[in-house]
Amino acid sequence: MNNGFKKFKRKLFVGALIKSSLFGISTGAFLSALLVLISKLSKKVPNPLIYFSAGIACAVILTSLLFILLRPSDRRVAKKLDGELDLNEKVQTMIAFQNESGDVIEMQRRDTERILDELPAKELKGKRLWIHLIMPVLAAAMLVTALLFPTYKEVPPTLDSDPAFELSAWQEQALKDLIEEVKKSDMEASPRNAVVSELEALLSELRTVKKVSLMKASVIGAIKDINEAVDSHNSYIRISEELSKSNVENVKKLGSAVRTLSAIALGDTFTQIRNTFPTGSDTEKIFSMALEIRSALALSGKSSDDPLYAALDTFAGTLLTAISNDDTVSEKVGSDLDSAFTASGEAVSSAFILQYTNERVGDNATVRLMQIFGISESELPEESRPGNSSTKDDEGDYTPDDDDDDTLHSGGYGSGDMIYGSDDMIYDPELGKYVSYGEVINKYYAKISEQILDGNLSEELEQLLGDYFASLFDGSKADGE
Amino acid sequence: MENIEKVQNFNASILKIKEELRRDVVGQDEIVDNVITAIIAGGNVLLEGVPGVGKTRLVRSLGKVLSLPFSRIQFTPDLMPSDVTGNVVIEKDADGKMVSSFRKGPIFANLVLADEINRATPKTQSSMLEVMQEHKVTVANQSYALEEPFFVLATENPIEQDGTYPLPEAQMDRFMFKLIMKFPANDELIDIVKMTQITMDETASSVIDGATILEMRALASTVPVIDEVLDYAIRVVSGTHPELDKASDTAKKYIKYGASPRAAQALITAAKVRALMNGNYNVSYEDIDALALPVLRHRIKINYTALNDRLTVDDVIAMLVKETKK
Repeated sequence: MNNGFKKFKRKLFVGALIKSSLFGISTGAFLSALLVLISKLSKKVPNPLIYFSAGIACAVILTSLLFILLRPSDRRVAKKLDGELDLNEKVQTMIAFQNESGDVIEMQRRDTERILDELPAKELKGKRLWIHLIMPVLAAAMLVTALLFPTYKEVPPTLDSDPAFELSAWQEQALKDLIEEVKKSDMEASPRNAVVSELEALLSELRTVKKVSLMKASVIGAIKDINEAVDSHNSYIRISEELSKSNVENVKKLGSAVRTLSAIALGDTFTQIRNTFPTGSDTEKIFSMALEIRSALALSGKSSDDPLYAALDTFAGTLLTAISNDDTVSEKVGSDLDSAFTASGEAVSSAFILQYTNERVGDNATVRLMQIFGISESELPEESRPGNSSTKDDEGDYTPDDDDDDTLHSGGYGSGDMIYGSDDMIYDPELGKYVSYGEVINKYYAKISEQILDGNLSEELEQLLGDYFASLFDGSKADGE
Repeated sequence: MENIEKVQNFNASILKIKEELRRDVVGQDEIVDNVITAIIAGGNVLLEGVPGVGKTRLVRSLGKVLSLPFSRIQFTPDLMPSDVTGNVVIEKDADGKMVSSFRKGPIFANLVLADEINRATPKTQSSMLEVMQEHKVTVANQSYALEEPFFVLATENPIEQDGTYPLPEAQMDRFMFKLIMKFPANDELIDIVKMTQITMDETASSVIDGATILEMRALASTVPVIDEVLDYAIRVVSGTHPELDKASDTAKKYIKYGASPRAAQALITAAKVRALMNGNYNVSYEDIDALALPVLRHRIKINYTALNDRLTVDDVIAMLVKETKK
């Protein structure tokens, strides 16, 4: 083929290659951009490997396909030359008859070749370059936009700092049940009425409260008031504080024993104190002790109607009576002292039970309120936390003996066949009411047993659960045991 | 070198012919070109023009330039076929015997001017047209071949249509071209008058002969045509047929019936000659476009819609060509 024709063909070849490449790359870029955008809009993190690979593959395939379509054949080149250079089908004729012979055909070929040799390649003007650049520029812009498009980041929902509250039916019922339980409890009348009033007021208030913060404030307030009602009624703490301030050792011991609210502690202390007057002749000591007791009682600020006050006051009185008799027979004094200690011990123990019951009911009410309304211990003021004014041995000097009478520590309220380690009432969602812990534990134990028997648990888990429930059952106490 | 020489001779001959003809025929360049094209292509021409525009002068001058015997036949209604072709006569020979001999008619020339052919009867017309087609005369079962190149230039007077016998379409088809000789422009008329004041005779000289014409014809026939151009010519011709599926919109709207396959043959044959005459060695779309009018105008019939839209045959053909895609 003539060089003149070849130069034009070469030019068109390169042009076709450039066009194909630009189109292929543009389409690849469009595809990549589209994949990136789809990923980002679908709230997924786009995988660069995927979208780049897809884009490159698309570019390569399209470039190849398009080049195959666009690649200039001799006929295509000839047609383009004739059209653009206004050659009146000379080149097409030359190509079509390149293998023919004849005078005119030869002349035609030479004439055309001469013309093509004389024409510079730049005579063949394609579309302006900028037209071919539009698509790649658009594709690049789209790809950049897609890459810069913000990736979806899951924004955690903004928690309402103070969500809405509405008293649910079960909460209302649970609160009503608690009120009834307190009413039926062995709590002394005065604190009981106060606690019931608080609970009833709380119920009324919670029916109108609309925010959780307000609800919690109301419940915590009620708990505080309940504890205050119990603490203000119970006298043992004030009395023990005053007794503990005494200079008389026995009175201090008595103060410590009173602080424990433990009949056993009281009994031991009485015994110790009695043993400090073995002969009954230490009338002065006895007198001092009695006066100190009475002084402490007076300083406690409690009413003389208070059973503990009265019991201790009576104790002091009987001590004075015992030593005030003109009877100088120490045996008589000693016998009177024994009677005084015995009688007072029983009276004081009885007073202890009352105040212990008050505390237990108050603590239970607190715990129940915390459970019903989802209030944690840390949200309560320290003094309102359950057990803070209980008979723990972290206050006072009393150390119980081994043979404590556990009955006095059984606590709880109401009666039950089995009293477990925890006396809490637990809300049973299946039954829709609060039930004793014992009922719940049996139910759970039954379910676990079924799983164990069916072999659904691993050996390790079987062992762990068995030990757990065994420990729970071992800790159980029957009423009266 | 030989083929270059041949082609150069061709072009030189054409130039000479044109030059000489211009001495006798003022203006009418397109007519002259097409007539030369038709002669070289081996076709015949139907010339339409008012009297006095130089039809006879053209053919006469052409005969001189081409060194070809020329005859003029004035067609009249009483002209008989034998008046055209010749007839057998009985005559005494040298020995005094009565013998029959064929007396050639005016048709026996290389260049024949058939003046006002539409005035002759259909019978006479057909005898003329038969000769045009076959280049021979058959009389009393005897065929007499006409000498090549044989060229007929027939004329039609567009004014006097009374008492004429318009050529039937089938016979119009035998003319390669139909050319319309227009009244000369003022400046041309001035030149004509001046020229004819000097002499009425043709002053053109002989430049080539019949054999050269035949050589030129043979050379022109070898001009290459690519398939695309051939296809284009075919589509132009078939586009004149409104009944065809691929008919052009123009044909469907304005043409009653279209051109015959002879039109396509004429188009290509003439296009080859035209290309060579213009110094090109291949047929192009331009050649087809340029020859579409003379080739098709006498071969198609426009309908009343065209007449109603005041369109001429030429207008319709121009629209058709424009509509056909290259």
